[in-house]
Amino acid sequence: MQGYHKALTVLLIVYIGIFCFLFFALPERSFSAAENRFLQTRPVLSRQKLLSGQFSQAAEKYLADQFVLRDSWIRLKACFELLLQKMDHRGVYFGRDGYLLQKPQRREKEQLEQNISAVSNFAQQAGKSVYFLLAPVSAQILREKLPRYAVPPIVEPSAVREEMTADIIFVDPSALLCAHKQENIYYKTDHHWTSRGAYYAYQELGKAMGFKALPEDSFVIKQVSDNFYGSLASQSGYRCQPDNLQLFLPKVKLPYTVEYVYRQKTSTTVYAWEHLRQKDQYAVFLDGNHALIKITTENQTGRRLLVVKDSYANALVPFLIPHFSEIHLLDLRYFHHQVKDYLLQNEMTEILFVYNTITFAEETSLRKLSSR
Amino acid sequence: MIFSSLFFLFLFLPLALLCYYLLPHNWRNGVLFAASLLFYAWGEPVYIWLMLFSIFINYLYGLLLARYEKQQQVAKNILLSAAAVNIALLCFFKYADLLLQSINFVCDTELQALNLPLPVGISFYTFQAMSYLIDLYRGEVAVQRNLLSFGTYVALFPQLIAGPIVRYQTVADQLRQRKEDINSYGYGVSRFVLGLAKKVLLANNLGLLWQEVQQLPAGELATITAWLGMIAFALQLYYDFSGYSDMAVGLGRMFGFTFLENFNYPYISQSITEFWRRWHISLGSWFREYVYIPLGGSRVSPLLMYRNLLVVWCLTGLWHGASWNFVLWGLYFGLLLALEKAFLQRWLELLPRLFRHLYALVLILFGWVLFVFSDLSQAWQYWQALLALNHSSWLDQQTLYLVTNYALLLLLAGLAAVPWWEKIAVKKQRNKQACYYAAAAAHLLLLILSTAYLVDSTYNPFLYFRF
Repeated sequence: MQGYHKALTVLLIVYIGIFCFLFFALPERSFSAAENRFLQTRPVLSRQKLLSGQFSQAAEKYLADQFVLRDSWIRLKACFELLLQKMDHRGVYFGRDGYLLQKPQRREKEQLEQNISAVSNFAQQAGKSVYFLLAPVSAQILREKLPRYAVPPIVEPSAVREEMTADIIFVDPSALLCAHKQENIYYKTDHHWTSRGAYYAYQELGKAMGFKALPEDSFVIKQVSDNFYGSLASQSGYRCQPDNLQLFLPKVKLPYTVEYVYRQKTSTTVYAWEHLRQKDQYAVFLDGNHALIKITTENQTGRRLLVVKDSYANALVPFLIPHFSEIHLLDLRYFHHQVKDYLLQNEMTEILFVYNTITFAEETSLRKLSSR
Repeated sequence: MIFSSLFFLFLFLPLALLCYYLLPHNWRNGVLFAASLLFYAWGEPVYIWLMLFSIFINYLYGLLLARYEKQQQVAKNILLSAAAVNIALLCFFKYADLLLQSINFVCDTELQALNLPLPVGISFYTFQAMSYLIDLYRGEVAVQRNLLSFGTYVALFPQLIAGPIVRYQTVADQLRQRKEDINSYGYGVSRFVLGLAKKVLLANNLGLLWQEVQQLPAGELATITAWLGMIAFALQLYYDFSGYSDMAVGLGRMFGFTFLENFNYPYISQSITEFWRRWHISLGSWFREYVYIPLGGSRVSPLLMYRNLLVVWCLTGLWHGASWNFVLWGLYFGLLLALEKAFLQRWLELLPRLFRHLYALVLILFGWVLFVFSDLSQAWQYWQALLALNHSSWLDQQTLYLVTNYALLLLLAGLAAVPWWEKIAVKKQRNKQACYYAAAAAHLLLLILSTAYLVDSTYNPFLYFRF
């Protein structure tokens, strides 16, 4: 018995001792690639920080952030969870064949109903053609990739169509996406659709908006990355197979300019290549999310499109360029002016909403559509 | 600071132990007191003054009581004023807002709430200090003239923030003289590691299951999901609380103290009376010793006895939190205990053991519904879901998903709530050596897994799509 207790004592001392020693002996890390953020470095002690409790917070964070083999511990935990048969982690389902899928968080329908009526009211007063593209997320189309018994998101595009006013031309690419579900239309580690997924939505959109979508053979499909660890990989902390990122580049390139309005930045391409070397490679499309982006072309179609959107539109919009003379992209999460005024001042001729089902059910910024 | 954090485990604890064992022997109480103050002040430095005030005033009251111990009436008045001060402090910092809200509700006034943050551990250290004064008044303990020793008793960090409520008489001698030895230390390590694992591996993960069930609308809850949720909550609470108590007992041992046990496998109880002898033992015995028995206990007329039960259980409920649902929760158990005292216990004896277990468990689970929902209408809805009165199905896809996800965890948690493995340990006496190896390996495994969960709990990816 005494030997046993001695052993336990030594065990704890050695265990704690090893990590204490390594903590002080190893150099500091300043950035975590896995978490995509700067880590807490040694906090500076000051009277004011000590009394306000800032120092103790920083010190605790310091110890945690600089903990020896931090990323490995997090992976060990994820492995153990899988051993316990846990099929989701921090709001991400561990699906089949390496798919990570968004787990819907909120189950109340209030926000969704508010959003539907906000869009409906807007459409009734806009006096222009209003299109609404509701993009299903991967958990809805790739149901067979979900873990057993997992509950998919509650928002069904067909149900939303029922509730929207008849002024809106509702576009539901679900059927077409379902028909092509074998073709990598969603990333495995990111919550977005791929260019291919967006391409099918573009075809569906063409039918509704009255333009002729370009056939697939008018694009060069180019793989620009094979090491994309997307948002769901980050969120879950689960080490998985990376995604490939492919772009649909038109064989005939039309000239256009992209203006990031509040950044005073212009570009002659919709692709922000520098993001391919960073963590969030999906931001290669239109440099991620901006309050307002203007794309001006030399096309003489006379169609000026306003897109009110979330990030799903970023992979879609490059396809739309040949069919419009101007496209303005507006992200309500960051845009703080009246949408109606903007519509009139810029003489937009039609409006397209692009939202995925989960954002549309949870987003609170759509109330900005109504006049104040 | 909390025990289940990397900071405590890998910095505070080793430093405290080093200072404790390396510095001269007669500094030990001083080291412990200083460590306790640092531990307490770490998160919110302000309330340290409140605790120091409480220590100081109770120390003075102790000296006063000792001085007037011969004059019964004076001593009694001193004790009453001491109790009044302690209870007033507790009420002001813990119950003021509840009182204001209730006044607003009853008198239709609009008094402003104070919104004071609750001083950590105030319910525990106030009760400890009071136990000292009452025992002193009763002549059961000697006065503590050393302020440092008294401060160490009240602020002792192993039991400061989440109990157990250590009565002064338990540790009076140990404060003066205690023998730290390797056996006791090793036992402490074992208890600490097991407690940590209970909290980090079981309680936190059971909490996730309860969270998932809780956010579903109760009106649509499938019956089995509702039961699953309540079982998860019951186990979460048990492992959370008993995990802390285990860590406290373990840490106490490492510093040479022996505390009394706070939990004794409560969910194997066969009656509610038994449950309360096994659940949060230190609180139950505090109320029995200092409220129930002084009121006459059960040695009075039946009517008075039921009054005593009522008072004790109102207070027990209220102690758990400043909200009326806790009072109801206390009364619920008071009522069940009264029924068992009156006749139910005798009837239960006639039933097979399995039924007695089921009876106790079901009533305990129904009780937790009152504990967890501060809004009575929500509790009502949840009860309906448990009883399949909410016009929902027995089980749905959600139920199956939760079962597949949490079956193993629930199984482990259920097994660990029953003392079967202690029996095995006794049976295997012949094969001692192998047992010890296995046990040591198990401790190491639990320590490693707990570390992984603790590190993971600080995982904080910068996510660019949700703001």
